[in-house]
Amino acid sequence: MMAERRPYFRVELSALVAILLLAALRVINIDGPSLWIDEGFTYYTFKTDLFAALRADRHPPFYFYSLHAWEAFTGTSLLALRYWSFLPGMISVAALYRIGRELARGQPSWARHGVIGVPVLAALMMALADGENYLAQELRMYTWQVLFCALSLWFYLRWRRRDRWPDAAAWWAFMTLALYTHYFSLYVIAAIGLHALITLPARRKAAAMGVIALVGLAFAPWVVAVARDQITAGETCLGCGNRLNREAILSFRKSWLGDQWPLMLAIALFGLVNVRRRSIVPWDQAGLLCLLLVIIPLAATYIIGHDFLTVFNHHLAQITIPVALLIALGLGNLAHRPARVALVIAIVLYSVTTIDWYRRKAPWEELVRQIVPYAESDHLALAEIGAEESALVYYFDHLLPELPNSAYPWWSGMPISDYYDGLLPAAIAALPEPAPDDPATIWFVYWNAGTAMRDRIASAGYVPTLTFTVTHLDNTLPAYRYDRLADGALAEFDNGLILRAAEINADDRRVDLWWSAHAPTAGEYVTSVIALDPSGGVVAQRDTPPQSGIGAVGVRPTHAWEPGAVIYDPKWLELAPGVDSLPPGELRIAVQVYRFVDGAIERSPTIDGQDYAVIGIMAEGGSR
Amino acid sequence: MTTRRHLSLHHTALLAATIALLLAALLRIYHLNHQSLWFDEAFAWNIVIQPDMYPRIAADTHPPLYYLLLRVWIALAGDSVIALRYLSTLISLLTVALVYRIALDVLRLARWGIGPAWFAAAVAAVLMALTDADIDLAQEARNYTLYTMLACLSMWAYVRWIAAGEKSQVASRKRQVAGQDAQAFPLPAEARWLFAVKRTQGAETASEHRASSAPSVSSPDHGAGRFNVWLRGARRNSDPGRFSIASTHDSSLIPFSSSLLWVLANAALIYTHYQGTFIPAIQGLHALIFLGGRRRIEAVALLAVSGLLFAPWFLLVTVPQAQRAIANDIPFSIPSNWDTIVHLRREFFGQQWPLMGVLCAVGWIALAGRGSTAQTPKMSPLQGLLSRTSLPFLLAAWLIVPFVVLFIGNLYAPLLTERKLAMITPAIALLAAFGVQALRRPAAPIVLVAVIVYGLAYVDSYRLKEPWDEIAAAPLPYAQPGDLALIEVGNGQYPMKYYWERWLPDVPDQTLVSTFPALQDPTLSVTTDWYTYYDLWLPQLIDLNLQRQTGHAATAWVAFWSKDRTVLDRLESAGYARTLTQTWVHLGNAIDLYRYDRLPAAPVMTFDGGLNLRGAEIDADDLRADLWWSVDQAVGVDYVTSAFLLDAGGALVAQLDSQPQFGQRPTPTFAPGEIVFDPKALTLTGGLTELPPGEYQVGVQVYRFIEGGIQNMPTAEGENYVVIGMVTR
Repeated sequence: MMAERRPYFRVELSALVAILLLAALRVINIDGPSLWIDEGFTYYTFKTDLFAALRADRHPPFYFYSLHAWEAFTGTSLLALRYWSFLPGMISVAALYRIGRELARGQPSWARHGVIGVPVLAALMMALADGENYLAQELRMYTWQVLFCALSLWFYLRWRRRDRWPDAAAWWAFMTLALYTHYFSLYVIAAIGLHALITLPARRKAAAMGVIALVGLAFAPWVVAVARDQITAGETCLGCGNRLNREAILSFRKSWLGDQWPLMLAIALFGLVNVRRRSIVPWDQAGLLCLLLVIIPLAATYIIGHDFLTVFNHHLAQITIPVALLIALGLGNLAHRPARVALVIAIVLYSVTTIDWYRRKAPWEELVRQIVPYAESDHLALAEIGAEESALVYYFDHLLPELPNSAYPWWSGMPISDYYDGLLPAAIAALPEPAPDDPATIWFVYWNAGTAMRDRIASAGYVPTLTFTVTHLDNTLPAYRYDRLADGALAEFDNGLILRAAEINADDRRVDLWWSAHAPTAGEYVTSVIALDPSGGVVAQRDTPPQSGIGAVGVRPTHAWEPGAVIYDPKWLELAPGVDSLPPGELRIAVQVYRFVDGAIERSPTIDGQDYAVIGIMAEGGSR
Repeated sequence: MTTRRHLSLHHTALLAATIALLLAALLRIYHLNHQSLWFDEAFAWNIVIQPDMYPRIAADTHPPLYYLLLRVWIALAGDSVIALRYLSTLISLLTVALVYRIALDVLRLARWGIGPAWFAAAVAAVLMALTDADIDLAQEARNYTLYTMLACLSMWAYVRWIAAGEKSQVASRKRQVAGQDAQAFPLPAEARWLFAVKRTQGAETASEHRASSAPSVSSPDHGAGRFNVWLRGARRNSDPGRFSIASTHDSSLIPFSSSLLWVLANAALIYTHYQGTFIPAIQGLHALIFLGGRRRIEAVALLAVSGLLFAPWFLLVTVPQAQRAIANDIPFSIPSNWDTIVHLRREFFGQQWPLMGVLCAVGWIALAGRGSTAQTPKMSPLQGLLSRTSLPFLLAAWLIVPFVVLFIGNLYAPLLTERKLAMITPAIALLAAFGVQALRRPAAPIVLVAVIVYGLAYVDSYRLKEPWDEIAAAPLPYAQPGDLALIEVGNGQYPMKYYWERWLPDVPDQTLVSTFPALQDPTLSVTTDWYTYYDLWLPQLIDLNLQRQTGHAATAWVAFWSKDRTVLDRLESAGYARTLTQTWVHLGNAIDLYRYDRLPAAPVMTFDGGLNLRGAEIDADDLRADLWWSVDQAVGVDYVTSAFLLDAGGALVAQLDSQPQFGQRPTPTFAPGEIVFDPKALTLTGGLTELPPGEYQVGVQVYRFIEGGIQNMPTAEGENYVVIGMVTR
């Protein structure tokens, strides 16, 4: 065995290590993009009964149970959870090397050339595959599916060569695991089975069919216990994708072959044959196997996709294996070494500079992070964003202070009325009654066509006071702050501004103001918060147009306020010039408003004739 | 390799090159006039149609050769859009042919085998045929394909000049060793090869070879095999006049024709585009580094002659042009930044840029690896290096120098545009073709197929032009002699002028098509002074329009894409009202066509419901009634306006009922005081295919739909409709 390996083993091993390191770059920014719908479901399984969730879902169980076990050790950080998808992607790269070695055995033109031989090239193509790179950063099962398919392929090839039962057992085990990871692994099992029927002698055909039958036997319990219910409930993947049309085919082309598809396709087609000493063997077993692994999933997708919406690129993730192999075999058929090197360089150069498979995910994390500075534990966070709700709830759970949050549980199958007429009103009603120095607050993230949740919030007496937004694919995703204020006003100013409420947050050195106006003001006013020491000196201050500088949607100039509108206006106090730190003891907090007229300040006094209105006391450790 | 096989290869290569030319023609002619002329093209057209075009050339930023050529071409072919662009197309086809020739001559100098050379040359022609940047320019009436073609011609002439020098050296050495055995003669390998190829190309030579098809001297080396071919040719040279090589090159001087071609090509190139100087500059650099002794001096002298030919124009025109261009901030450029690099990468190498880049690199290495001109065993290592890198340097410099100089120079002056770099496309095609050949079988055909499929499936360089032809064509069904046509679209005024002066109804002196010249071009307007134009000239045009008014309305058409609303203000202050707006979106920008009409203050008729018929005209030829509507107050009802034809017996013979303005302006959208143009092209009824002779009344009515039927809106006079005129057949 070693004697067979020796000529190229070290250089191949070095190359494989380098390729694995290259593939490991997938970990960069793995927790950068926010979760999206599908990943949201995976997170949802942590918040509910897993078996019940799976029964209502459309996937087999391996990934979810294994992820739960992984989470028990690593926690629920995004890095930890997605790392569970990253790991199998790395092993798949190594598995492709092994598959390449199996295919290249007895094929000198494929096996030799070391670093640019078929085994290393197969691993390289797998490492560069954008689909694998993308899926390795997703909280989903597809890299596991690909890994199990690759391992079952490898052990099938080993079993073909050696005819030993441990290989057959491993083949059976990985086929079973693949099926327990994703139903569409059936395509790979069918392709391998068909290949065995076509190419094996009669005696071994029966053995191969026996192994496949055992896979079915091993999967039967799940089918009986759960999959049947999923199918009955229409929750398999029949209907969760797009229609198979020209656009879908172009998307396949882009995803697996990239913009260099003519080159990649030509090389892959050349991989179907076997060039041996200048003669071409048109129907090579390796080429046939790869062809079946590509054709069967595509044909099945075409047939099923005719009547059902099943087309998603990630549903065909397993064809990354034969595509990588075919390109490797095609390159391996190029006997002229410089040509092979040149094309490998072109492929690597393209792959490392271009991304052909990527999903832009809604930036929920960015949106929630805007809320974080202002959210408090007595607030409520709500979301009405369709199926994305679990993705957003992840960030509610992990970024916001411990406050209650609620969204219609999309994956639960709960009747909508149960939520909107029961759970939601109850959650809103559970909020504390507002006080002049502490309004009741709801944060509401909205990306929907309906207004059910907004209506419930409004009917409970809450009004929008602040809007944060992020942009996603030309859509504006807003997060609103809704407040319910106590009746009355803290102060009223000559220019018509009414200070409806104020809350002093001593820890953050922030004062939150809520304003309204009888009518738009003449001119634009600046609102100001000042901290006065016992001698009346200003020790800290913040003057800005309302809502200026906090990342909210624009400034809310006072001349554009609509009567009745409430404007939330947080002020982060800054120490006055010459003041190094806030003096100990109590500080009076006052609010004033003014405007600039010909470069000079024109103050608007309170209706009591005061320059400013004192709204409370701030002291170290608390406020009142 | 036998001569018979050479001929077979040659014929195959010629066939491939011919197919490449046909492919090139197909790709360049297809949709040749699909898009409108744009500013650059119409600007060129406007120059060459001037009786004295030199002042306009002097006011531009380009030298004159293309304009001269276009003027001659227009005299022959006319100035339709196809004709204008076809000149560029033909020139582009010449470029494809020249790329084939350059590849062949470069590879001969580089001592590649005959088969590989012909294959690479054919591939180069195919790649050039598929080059999107060249295809795009081949569909434009501009000088850039001429610029590229002359760059190729110059490079080809230079390569031939070098080759001719090699031949003359061979001949000179041959004289020195006269009487010795030819086999002992230490010829440079590529020079021997040149003779061999020269001989295999001639039909007479071919027959000679067939006649003397003795086995060649045994040698595994192709060069030696070719040398045998040469030997047979050299022996034949004992018969004076029988072989052209001997009689032509039996001298140490380079043939005058080679030098002349090179000098003229360079001069023509610079007379086509100033940045054509890159080519002679690269050649000069090459000559200084790689040529030796007398040939270096000759090369510099010939380049100097090219420069001298250009000197008069440079002194008299170029310098003032440059001063004016800088003063007026005329040149356009794209910025020198990373995005531009990515953009240019896509433009010239496509989305398969890694493949194309690797092919170019492989081609370059293969060219250097095979050696180059005139290597002899006595060369020093430095001489050997220079010899090997001579041709690779030339091609690499052709590709890189224009880009680097323009990219860096662009930081200081606006120099860089995609089209100014068009001259590098042949270098890319050549290097990539050499790369394809160097990959050998089976990689070469695989890659070639991939490149061809990509080239046919993608367009990486394409200019989306403003739809000036559509905008200009929009008024044609309604425009009448005497209508005023005003153009306020920046530089788009050139193409609009081109189309409107052709298409609008007869206007004897064309004075009613008018624009204020954005580039101070006096050929576009009687004045280039803003105040004079808008305050004096435009009011005169409006007066002229009013004098020529024949019906209810005096009409002005305005093509508008500007921030300056002066032209609209002048019309409105003269009593015109905008009655029609059509909008075209070009790259997210709205380009508008407005119809302005001046109508009598009193309405023709008022209908119940508040609709005023402000004007009505009948186009008897087109059987169309033009109506103008307004409302005094907004109406909430969606009325249908109807025009119809009644024969002498009161029977309906033609009709059109619709919401106003082709259904685009329902009456609830009318603003009070706004006038809406509402043309009704009448449709014959009752199975009539032609209007019988007779007199017909043209009536107009207004109605609305109510439950169960229609409700007619009577006129202020209590009639169901108003008669606006008669049509006689």
